[in-house]
Amino acid sequence: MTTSSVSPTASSASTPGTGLGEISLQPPAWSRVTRRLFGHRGLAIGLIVVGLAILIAIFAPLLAPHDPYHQDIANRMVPPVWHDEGSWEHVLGTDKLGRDTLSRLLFGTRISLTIGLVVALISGVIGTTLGVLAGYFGGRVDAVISYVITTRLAMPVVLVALALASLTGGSLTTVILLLGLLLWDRFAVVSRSVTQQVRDAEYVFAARTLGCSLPYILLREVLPNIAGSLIVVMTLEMAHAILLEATLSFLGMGVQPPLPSWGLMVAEGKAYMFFQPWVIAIPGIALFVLVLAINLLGDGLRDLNAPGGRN
Amino acid sequence: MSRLEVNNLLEVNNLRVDLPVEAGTLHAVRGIDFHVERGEMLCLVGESGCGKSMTSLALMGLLPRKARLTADRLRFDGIDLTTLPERRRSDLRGARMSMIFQEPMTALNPAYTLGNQLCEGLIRHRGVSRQEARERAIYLLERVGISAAKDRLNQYPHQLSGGLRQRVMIAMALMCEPDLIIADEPTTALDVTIQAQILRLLRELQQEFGTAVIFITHDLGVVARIADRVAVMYAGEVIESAPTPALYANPAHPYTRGLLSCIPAPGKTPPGSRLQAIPGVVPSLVGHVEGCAFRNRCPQAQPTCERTPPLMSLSGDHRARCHYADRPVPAPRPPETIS
Amino acid sequence: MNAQPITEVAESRPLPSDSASVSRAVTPALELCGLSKTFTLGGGLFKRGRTLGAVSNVSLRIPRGQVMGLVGESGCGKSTLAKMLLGLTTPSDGDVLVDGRPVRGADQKALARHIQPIFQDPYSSLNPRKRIAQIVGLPLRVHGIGTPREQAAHVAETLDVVGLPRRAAEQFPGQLSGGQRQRVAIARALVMRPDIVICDEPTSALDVSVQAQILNLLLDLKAEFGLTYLFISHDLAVVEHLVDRVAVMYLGRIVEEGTREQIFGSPRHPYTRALLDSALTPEPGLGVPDIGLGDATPDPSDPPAGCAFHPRCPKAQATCRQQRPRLEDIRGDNARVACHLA
Repeated sequence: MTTSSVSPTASSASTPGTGLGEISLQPPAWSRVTRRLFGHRGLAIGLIVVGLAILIAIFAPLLAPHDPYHQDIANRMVPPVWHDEGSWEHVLGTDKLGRDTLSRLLFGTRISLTIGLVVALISGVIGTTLGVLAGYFGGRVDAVISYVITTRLAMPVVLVALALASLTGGSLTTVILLLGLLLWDRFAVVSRSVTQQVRDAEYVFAARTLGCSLPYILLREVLPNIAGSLIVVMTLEMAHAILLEATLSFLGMGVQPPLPSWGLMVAEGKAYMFFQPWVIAIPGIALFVLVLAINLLGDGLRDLNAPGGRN
Repeated sequence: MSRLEVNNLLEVNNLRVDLPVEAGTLHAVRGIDFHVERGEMLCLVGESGCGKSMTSLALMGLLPRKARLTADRLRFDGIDLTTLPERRRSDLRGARMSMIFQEPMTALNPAYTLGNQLCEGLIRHRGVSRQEARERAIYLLERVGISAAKDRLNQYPHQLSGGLRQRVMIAMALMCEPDLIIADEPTTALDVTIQAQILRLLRELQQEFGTAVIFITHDLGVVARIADRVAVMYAGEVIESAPTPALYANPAHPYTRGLLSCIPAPGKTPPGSRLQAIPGVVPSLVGHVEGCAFRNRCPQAQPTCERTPPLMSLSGDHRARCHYADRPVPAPRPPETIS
Repeated sequence: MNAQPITEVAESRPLPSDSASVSRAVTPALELCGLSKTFTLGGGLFKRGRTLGAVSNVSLRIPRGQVMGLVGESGCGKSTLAKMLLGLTTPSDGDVLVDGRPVRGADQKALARHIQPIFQDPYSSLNPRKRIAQIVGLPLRVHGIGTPREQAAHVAETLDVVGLPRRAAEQFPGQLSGGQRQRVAIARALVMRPDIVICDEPTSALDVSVQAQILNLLLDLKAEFGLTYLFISHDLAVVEHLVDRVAVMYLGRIVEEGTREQIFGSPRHPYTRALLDSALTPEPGLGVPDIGLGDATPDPSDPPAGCAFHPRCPKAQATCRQQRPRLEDIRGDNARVACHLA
């Protein structure tokens, strides 16, 4: 047979209106991406706020008007600027040791975001590995790993974290390690179920038929296709970790003073709750806003990632 | 209305369905005309993306919320469907127009018994007692060939095979004695032997109860065996419609001819030979579509085809949307020079 | 297009050879000997599960360069059979011989050099996160064949062979139509120039007009590269058009096997006849025939005693209910049938 009969001349190569020609009808990729990102209100808000928090964390030394650790007993418990006794010197007032609240707030962003990110990464690696293995192999491997996951789910995280932290003493590193080792359950559950779906896809069969090694299949065929769902879980676990750290610090088992953790700020202002409410209200609102923004981001990513179909 | 039209159960003129998508507006259905007479089986044939499922959803009023529907005329038994409020529309749905879907797995609610799902419509629409509804359900289940009908009423969908589930769907569609059933690829997901049984059953029941059926499929073999009339859809338009014998004997539109000749016909196509394929792919329906949508794949495309072809009437009820449906093509172009 | 010899950098371990060497011309390209696969369902830590005989004692011979069709409905075991041939499942019993050499114990990569699949669903057979060039080039990379430049050239050539434009190489599967995706799947199967291609319903998910293009392509490629096909499908018109021989499966066993003319012209097994009757050709006025199979639905995990088909068979006799018929050669014909009444 000659060449011309093998490549159908009138097939996709020469006629217009082929599937490939239609690429040019779609708007350029970047404008599609921006339209999708900002078309979704929650996602847009989440993205902006979290982006702002990241910038604040990076540029905190430049933005903060005072040193967050500097104590000025003469100026303790100064109210925020909108009070009669407030001043622009300390826009958000000072705490019981005279430290500027605004500066502590800005530096506290670093702690919250660091904890959120690192804990999400550690628990992500643990949970995804367990979940992918359980989902891909099924059978006994799945039975064992599911047992482990269920055991973990049966634990009340805060109590366990408290108990362990009290054994080792609270510190930033302890908090990160503890939470990283405790918060992997959602990663495991989600990655397990998504892997089960992907495992039966024909492109995985094709890779197995070729004799691809197991690590290759898991890393290059399975993982990229479950990444979407995992990113969503990651944002949610970040928010979870931030809140948990605040809880632990509030209870004295987390980050230790004088670090400007928002949870610690709330704890330290507890006594003044009724007469000088700004001391706990301000870090409380900051926590609320950051966690809300991260949740909005996660929800938005999940909506974007949701069955958009085959394209 | 002329006397010819009085017998029409469903009249559709210039139906359009538009869907906003990321890249613009998708014109899923671009001005189709067809009618269904009482008691007849009309087959809507087409490949994926031709708009046949959208049409069925439009008729039932089940389009996604973002979709926009317009029509010059959309009349069911004289009732204008475009101006009908939703509450009255849902009265029609199930009682006088019902639908059979493709996937019996997902069309039946796994949380409710079959009896519950069968009787629900009848009780709601006709206000009969539960006992009467159950009796009718048992009668219909037996009629569709399901044994031990009384026990089945208490079973759940997962306890039945695909073929049985589809029979239950047919029984469910018939519960309220509808005038029209829209069946969207009801046998595509079934094995070939089961498909034959279900089709035979559907045809019998249709003729016995006098129900009109719009049967949507992509399978030209099925169409030939069960349809009274056929409407062929391509790229959102009905490009040919005719009584079944006429369509297969004298396909007027090049797409219909292409479709018929690319199916291997045992006994006629020499085995192992090359099939006559239709080159190219369906054009995108997003944004403005001009002229004949088939011209980039048509073996006899001419410069005239850049103008939208009118609906040409051939003999009897046979119509085709092609400039050259009833006349010879001026100078047939060789395939290599198709623009 | 000439099949360019691929420069091999790494050597893959060949299949273990049989002691008796048969000349290549006579050895069937693919031979199945008593292949069986049973699954255990619902077993727990303490409870023994039910056995499901997905494939039972299947023997087939596919000569080189021929197309063997495999037809059957859901539950007949054809997908499990395909998986055993591809090395995705180990047989419970029996063996597969590729070119006369047993597959049992062979390296998966060596097997992949000889047998490649084309799957049914063009939407899930390609990894949506990879580009076409990566997908088609994967076999070459996994087997270490050629330098990256040679690989890229070979991939481009293979895309030409299946009728895709070269610019498709940089596209993602989501940007291609179903027919184009199936061409990519074919390109991936062919890139290592295998001998045998297992086509598992390759056109069932495609539109009719695209189906014809792909079938033509498969025929052309078979002639061009001297391929042997096992063509699994439920579409009898397509099977009749393409194949040299056909095997009909029911509940894990072959019930009839013969040449195309024999099976489609004079079928002997009642199930084959029913299948052929259910295939609705586009001829108006004939209506839908009464297949006469009754209502019973086959359950692979609980097969009937005797002949597995007897509950639905219009001609079932007492023997059929008691004794399972064996697949026997028909004297004088190159065909086999498993029926007491044939």
